[in-house]
Amino acid sequence: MALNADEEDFEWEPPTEAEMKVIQARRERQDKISKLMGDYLLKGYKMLGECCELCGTILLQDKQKKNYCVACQELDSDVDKDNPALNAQAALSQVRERQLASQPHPQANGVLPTDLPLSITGLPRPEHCEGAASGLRAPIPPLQPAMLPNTSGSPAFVPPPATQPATSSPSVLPQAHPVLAHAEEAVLHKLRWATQELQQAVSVETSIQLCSLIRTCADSLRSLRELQLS
Amino acid sequence: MCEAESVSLQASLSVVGALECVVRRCLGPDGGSVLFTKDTGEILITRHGQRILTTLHLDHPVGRMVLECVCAHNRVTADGSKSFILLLAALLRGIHDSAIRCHKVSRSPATPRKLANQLLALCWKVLDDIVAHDVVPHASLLFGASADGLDCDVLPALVRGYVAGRVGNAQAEVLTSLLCELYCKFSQEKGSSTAEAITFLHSSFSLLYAKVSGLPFGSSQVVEGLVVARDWSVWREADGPVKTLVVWESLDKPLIAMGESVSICFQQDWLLRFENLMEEKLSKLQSLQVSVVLSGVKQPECVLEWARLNDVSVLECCDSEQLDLLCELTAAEMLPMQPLVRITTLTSYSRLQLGGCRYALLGVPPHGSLKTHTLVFCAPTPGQLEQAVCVSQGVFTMLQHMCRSVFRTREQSNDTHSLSDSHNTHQREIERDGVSRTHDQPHMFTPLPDSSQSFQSEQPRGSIKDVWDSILHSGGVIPVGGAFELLLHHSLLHCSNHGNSEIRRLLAEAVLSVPRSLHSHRPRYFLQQHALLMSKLQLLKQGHTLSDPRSGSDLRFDLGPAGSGPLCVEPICSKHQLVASVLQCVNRLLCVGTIILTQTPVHRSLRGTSEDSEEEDM
Repeated sequence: MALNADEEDFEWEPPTEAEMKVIQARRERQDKISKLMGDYLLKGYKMLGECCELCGTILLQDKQKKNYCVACQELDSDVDKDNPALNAQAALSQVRERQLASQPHPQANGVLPTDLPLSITGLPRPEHCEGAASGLRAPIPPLQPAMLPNTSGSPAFVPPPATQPATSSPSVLPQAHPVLAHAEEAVLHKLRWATQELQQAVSVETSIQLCSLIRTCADSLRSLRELQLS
Repeated sequence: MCEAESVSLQASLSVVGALECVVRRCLGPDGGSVLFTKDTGEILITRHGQRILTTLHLDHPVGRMVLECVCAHNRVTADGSKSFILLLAALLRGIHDSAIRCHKVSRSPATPRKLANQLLALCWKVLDDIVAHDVVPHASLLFGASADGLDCDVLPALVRGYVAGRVGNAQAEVLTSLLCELYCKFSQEKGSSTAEAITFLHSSFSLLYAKVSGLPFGSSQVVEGLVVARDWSVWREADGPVKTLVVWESLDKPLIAMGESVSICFQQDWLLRFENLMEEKLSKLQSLQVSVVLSGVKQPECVLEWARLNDVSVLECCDSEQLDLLCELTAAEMLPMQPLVRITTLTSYSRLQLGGCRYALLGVPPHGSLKTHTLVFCAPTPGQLEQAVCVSQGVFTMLQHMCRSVFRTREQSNDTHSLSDSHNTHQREIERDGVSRTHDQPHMFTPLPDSSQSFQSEQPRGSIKDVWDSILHSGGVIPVGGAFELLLHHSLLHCSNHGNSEIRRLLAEAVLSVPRSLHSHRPRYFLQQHALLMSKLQLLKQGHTLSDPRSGSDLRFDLGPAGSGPLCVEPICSKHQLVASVLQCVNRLLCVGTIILTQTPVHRSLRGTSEDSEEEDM
């Protein structure tokens, strides 16, 4: 076979800082993938000859003949959870942290009444939502919490502090179900608030987060309307 | 980097990276074992690299290629499957980084295939020289005070080094002493200068052991003679040498001599005639005065009845391969006109009680310089028995490979030295005149340490103790634990007259990955030993002789607590073969241009069948 013996010595220069970081990050990712793959191989998964279409990682197949990509299904989902651009909850947590850091401590009468406000689904909110919720509520004048029963179809984590009567709702919707109307009212209120904040927002990140909040509110509204129409 | 060429590198990196994560945790005496559970509920607990890799489900073509290479390497040296994967992974990563770097720096990009070719060229042209001139001479200085002028027992150290990483500590000592005892009892002549016993044990070990389940491991023993895992069907005790008949087929089959024609006709008194025939046959046997009949098949009742009446012992359903071995060892004669019957003489025969079973023990007369013994393995579970058998077979494969390499090197160096003897004598005279010893030009004058030169001078006088002594003195062994890798690393980085410096650096960095993984639980100890070795080599380079090897701390790469435990060594040729095999495997992997998926079924022929191997036996 042809031995391509190159006689000149390569001038080896050490890689730059940026290159090192890129190489390091890539290597860490590859190591994580290898470790996961090794663990699955030991569990009895079969290493196939095909690669994932999205990321190019080698596919594994379990005993039920289901294909599995360790990068797409395990590695990347870990990362997405904390990315505020992709997850509304993370966005809210970030907003709350920012507001708590920038504004003085909310006054005592600004604090909510003792009974826990319920989320839209009627269950007590988990603590991290509570924090986000309290962060959002702080600048808003305290309102009576709305005790809303189950309303399906609303994906938002937005707490419904508004309890304005349905007659003041700007939407011209049939008042067939007061619950839905209340929900819609709450969401619209939040939408309004977010728009106001967006106009005053200075940093790019806050703007992105508020936009995602607005988008979520719009989605909720759409779902509520579909529910009302159905 | 051309995209098409990096496909194979990316695929190889992923696959080998995953395999590395699997085997890394099982490396060395402190490594763990893998527990496999089959769907049928059977459990397999192993830390044997090849066993682990073949049990995984690998359908990726690159994975299958790597597995083939590992199996081929294992057939030759019976060692280093896990180290193979670690070294392969480190090399592929090094090639990947190097290719990226060179792609940005220089105009002619060093593609992975080019680097792989250069590595292979290094393997063929340069590696032998580096190992022979820079690693082997320094191997002896690593033995420290325990070497005592290099008179330590090499065989137990070699066996211990192999076994320690493969079975538990308690079993390792027992197994080491058993295997050394088997070898010593086999080779009757003390100080044989050939490795006839090793060759014989390697080829026939599968017939020279018996397994007994349910007893503690310490009950294992070496018995004299050949143990057959069957009980006597007809038993009559007797002493002294006995004539033995060995048959491979049932005695009531009509024995037709070659060339005779057969006529079939019906006779009314056929049964009577048949019985008469049998009687004639048996009386013929009686006239031969055999006392023992060894049969490869079940004999009819009439034969057993005859045996009972005539004080003949019968052993049925023996392994035909064992019968072949027996005939070979005792030089059995063929009976005229009967090809499947042999007659021979045994020194004794007896019954052996092992565990809950009875076995037959046959005394075999010495065959040349070899005295037949059988190793009886006892273990509580069948799994441990299998493990002990596998490790023992591996020990003899390893020893066989080492003896073959050392003898081949000895022949080559004999030829070289006989030609350049006068030149060397002249050089030595110059040195004695006070010119400082120089080790910087190995290709001009091989600066072998004094012990090796004494070997050369001793050889014509024939005063070498035995083959192990010659192996030790010619630098065939090195302490376990990473000594070879460190020496090779140092040599690759500091010898400036061989090949491409980038390639040598790549291999040097990759070679260190194995001892680093081995000592991953105590990295500081490894760094200390590394530093100590470098300082000793530095002293040697500057011309100081290490006159007192007992001074200061010994450079011993013990895998137990530092400085304790008996000496464990490994053959340099196995490590050398490992590096060569890995370089060839890398070349094979990176010469793949495209991977095309087909729908034909996978042929799983990796277990135990002999395949064509592209690995050259160095």
